[in-house]
Amino acid sequence: MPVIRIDQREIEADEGTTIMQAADKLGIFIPRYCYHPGLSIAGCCRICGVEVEDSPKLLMACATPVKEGMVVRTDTERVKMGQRAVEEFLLLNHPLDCPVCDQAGECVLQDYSFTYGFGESRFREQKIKQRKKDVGRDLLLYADRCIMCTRCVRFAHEVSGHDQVGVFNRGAHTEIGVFPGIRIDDLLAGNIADICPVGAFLSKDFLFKRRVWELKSTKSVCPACSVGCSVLLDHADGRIHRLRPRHNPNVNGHWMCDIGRMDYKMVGSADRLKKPLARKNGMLEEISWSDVIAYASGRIRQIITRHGADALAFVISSDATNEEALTFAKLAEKTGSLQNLRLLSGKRGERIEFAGGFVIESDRSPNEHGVLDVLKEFMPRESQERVTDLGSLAGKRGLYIFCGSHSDRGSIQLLARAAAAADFALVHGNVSSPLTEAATMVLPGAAYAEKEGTYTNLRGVIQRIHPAFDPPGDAGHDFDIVLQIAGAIGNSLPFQTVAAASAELARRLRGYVSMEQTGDTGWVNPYSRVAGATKG
Amino acid sequence: MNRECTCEGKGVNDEFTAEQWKLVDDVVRKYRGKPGALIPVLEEVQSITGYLPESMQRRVAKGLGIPLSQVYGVVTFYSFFTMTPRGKHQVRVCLGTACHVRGAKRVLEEMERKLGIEPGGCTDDRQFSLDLVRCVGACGLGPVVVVDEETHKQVKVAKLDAIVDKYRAESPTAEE
Amino acid sequence: MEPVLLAKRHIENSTDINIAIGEGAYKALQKVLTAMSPPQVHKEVMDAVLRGRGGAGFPAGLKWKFLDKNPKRTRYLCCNADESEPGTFKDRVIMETDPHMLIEGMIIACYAIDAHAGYIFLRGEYANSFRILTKAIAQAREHGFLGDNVLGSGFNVNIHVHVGAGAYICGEELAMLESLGGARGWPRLKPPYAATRGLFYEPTVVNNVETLACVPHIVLRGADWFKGMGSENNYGPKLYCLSGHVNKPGVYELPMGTTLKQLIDQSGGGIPNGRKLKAVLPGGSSSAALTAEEVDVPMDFDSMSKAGSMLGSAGIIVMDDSTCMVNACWNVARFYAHESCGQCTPCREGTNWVARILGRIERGQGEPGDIDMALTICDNMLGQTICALADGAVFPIRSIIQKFRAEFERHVRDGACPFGAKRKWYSVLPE
Repeated sequence: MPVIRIDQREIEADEGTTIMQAADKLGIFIPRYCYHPGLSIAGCCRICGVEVEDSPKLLMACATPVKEGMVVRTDTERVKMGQRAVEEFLLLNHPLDCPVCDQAGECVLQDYSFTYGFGESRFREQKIKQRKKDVGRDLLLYADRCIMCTRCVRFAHEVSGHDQVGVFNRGAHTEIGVFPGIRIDDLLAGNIADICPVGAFLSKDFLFKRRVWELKSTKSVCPACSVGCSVLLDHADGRIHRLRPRHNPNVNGHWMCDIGRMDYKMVGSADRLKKPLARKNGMLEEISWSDVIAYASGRIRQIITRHGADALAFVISSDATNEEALTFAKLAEKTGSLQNLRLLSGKRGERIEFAGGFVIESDRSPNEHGVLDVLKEFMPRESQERVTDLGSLAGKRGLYIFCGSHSDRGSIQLLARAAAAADFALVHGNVSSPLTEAATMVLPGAAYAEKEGTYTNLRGVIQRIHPAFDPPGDAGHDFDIVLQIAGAIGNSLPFQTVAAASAELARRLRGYVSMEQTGDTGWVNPYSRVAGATKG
Repeated sequence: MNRECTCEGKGVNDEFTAEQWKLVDDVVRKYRGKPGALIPVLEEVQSITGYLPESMQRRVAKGLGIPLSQVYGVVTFYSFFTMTPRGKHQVRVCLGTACHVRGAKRVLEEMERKLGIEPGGCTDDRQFSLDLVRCVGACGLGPVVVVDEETHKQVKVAKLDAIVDKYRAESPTAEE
Repeated sequence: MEPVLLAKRHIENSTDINIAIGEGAYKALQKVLTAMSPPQVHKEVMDAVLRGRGGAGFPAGLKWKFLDKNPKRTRYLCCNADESEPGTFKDRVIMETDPHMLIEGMIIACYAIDAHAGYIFLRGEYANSFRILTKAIAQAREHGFLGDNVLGSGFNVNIHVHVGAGAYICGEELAMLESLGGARGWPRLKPPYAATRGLFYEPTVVNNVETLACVPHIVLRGADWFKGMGSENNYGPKLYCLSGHVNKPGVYELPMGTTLKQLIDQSGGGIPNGRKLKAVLPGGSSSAALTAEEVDVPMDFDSMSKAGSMLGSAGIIVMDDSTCMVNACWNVARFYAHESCGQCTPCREGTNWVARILGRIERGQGEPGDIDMALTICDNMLGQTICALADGAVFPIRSIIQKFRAEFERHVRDGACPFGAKRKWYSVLPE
């Protein structure tokens, strides 16, 4: 592996990598606009020029492969002059409308202008102006803010493969755009606004909602399909304002899809369950937490004593975290109803694969893999094959259903019928559904953005989610709710916290690790049923 | 998907004859699957239709299986391609450095006056369109005016009448 | 000097294959196919130190040597006939008076580099050259010089003509290959070079028309004959294009290294109308300007570079003392602004900016500081881009400003052009 020197620091660079990558590894920052680690190299913005010994010109760090013995300087006067010049050129025809531009605060052009720029304009000619264009379901194009880095063009060609974005005209009139009538409506389109380093491509959904510096970012995992893209929840005042993909080579690479991007709307939706409910005279009415726990546990005990443990069934959705699944299975174990433990599967959709290898899986829920791993660990072997057979629950007198917002609608209908027929149906979930309508009691739970735990994706990668804020109203944390029910039944569980449950999982399940050990990019379970990661 | 044109038919109006569409499709078929086909196809199509409006670009993109963004990118990059109708005769005045120093500017001004149009324009009767070019590789003959494929050398302002009249005579107005 | 490249210029119907054969065409090809191996052909060209006539002066033999020889890959030869440099029209003369010399040169080059397809990237404006080349290629095929089993040798080769669609940048090697592939003519990042990743991403050699036209002569008469012309390291016959303010503009064939002064005074017959020489762009519009005092310099690659300019495409644009240098500079600047492909930031923005500043100065709207600003913009563009177009804009603009600065200052001071430029101006740029 070639050894090179950057600003007098030595590094052993990987064969075939570039000066930019070597500098990143050393923590030496070289500015970049066109360079994006998830795209091919364009080398056109010209801001990453560095001095290389024995080379008469500045070389572009993004495009220059490392060579044994290379001596690179990123901090000389010549390098700085080059950066200043590019900054000046880029601002010539730029409208400088930062006060009304959504990108302000996370605009690379703005940031670099402060760091590398002149601070004043020598340009006295008239600027080339362009109108704002509506170019997609969620995309606006402000072409005059564009700096022609061509990230969007390369993305549309290499990653989504839909090629809607192109470069038109030439010289100073060169612009990014779409053919008249063409729209950027594929399911990866939202990434274009993310990778645009300036305010040229903006998301309509986020437009003028918030200044980015008012947002807090919480690391999470997208629940909209079983790929489980690593994401950042950008939120303020208890509301999510947007999702952004978080780079994860084990899962999603640099990207996420628009289904997941818009899924956050469920978190703040009007359908959220905010109060515990109990049926009185045929109507669901609000009730306090202490009462609902007491009543519910009482009814469960009653069914067990009158009809035996086999009259009781437990159903958990693929929205639950691994830790929630563990508490739930433990509860079923304590009541002696493990043979009646069932999975409520997620919604199914079309599996979509993109040119660059990014996949949207057909299982449109986050944790079927993980929940099944847990359930199968506990269930008796002979009943395991019925784990998804919800029809076999017909006639059960008591049901405890942990429903999810990504659960299959047909299954929910089926369960709703079973619930209506049962003596007692306790439904635990975060949004109202036909199932909550049929419930005897409803326990309001948290959405993924409000809780802690892990999900196991389709390929067995275990990833951690973090709470961004508290659940709305009186809604509680699902893990605690199950614990309380168990406690009230009289079967307290051997762990009291999510972290302890996570440690228990790591002990019990082959290839699992605890929440703390997953890191930011997740833990790839070496024994997982499906090996490999989604390319992206 | 970008390649599938959603508004086939839109823009396909009486602008071009059925015969022209057929010729265009023949050109596309001839080149389909060959590497680097796009530019020769666009050149041949433009020679049939005179210009490359959106409808024509859609037809070419679909026929060759090339993204519309690439077709549009190419059409707007190369100066030979035009998206607006051109005259029957294309008058191009060279403003290359060599012609420039030999008085091309005056020739251009006079040509504008004579045709009554600005560079980029087209006469109302669609007989002439006028363009600027920056060097046609005839620097030894400057100033140069190219009409269609014919190069007129050492053009003096006094010669312009004769040049324009020659082409005007070639296009009988009875053609309407 | 006995003309070599222009030997058939004054022969009637010289483009017809029978006439051309009568004048010695395809003799070199017969020699190559009967008596020489590809490495022998390559060695002869290498020994002749045939430097590329397109502008850069890179030895053709070396270019061939660097070509990826992997037998599993398809190799291509591209002839750069996209002669778009203002002031340059030598390749057109070759193609229109002696197309068979070029075709023969291409066949021999293909043989030497083990390529079986050659592409001529012809400038779109050259409609006449296209007709002549197409006919000549058809005739060459009929005579068995092209196609399968050339002259019974077992060697197969074909030549295709691609007509460019109007973009100066396509004269740049990798932009040309992008364009041949059906894309916008955006130069590619180097490395990889065309020798490993060229046309359709296969190994490709790109040579200029005049360079390839020299090949049959070198093969037939030997490297030593070729080196008998010109000066050390700058050998062979050379075509010079004279235009602008000279009595006899045109293409002249002379030994490499003929002085610029000789070319203007003797070949070109001096400056018309008793005017005096003011400035010359000696190597096409991309070369640094020389003043009247600087023209006593040999027109070869190394001497021109030493004189602070370049031989380039040997397109000599002569300007007499009636020329407004601000106007000429603006004209050059607008050309590059119009032809910038728009890929690299410094060129896309810089060429346009400089052109607009120069336009203001020429129209009498210049401000103090504009001249120095234009010079710093030039500095900020030079050497900062993927291809050399920006450099080609900087060389003439910067040299004209530096060498004729007083004229620029007078425009700013007087608020008008002393040469009486009118208010009306033409530009494809926004003003």
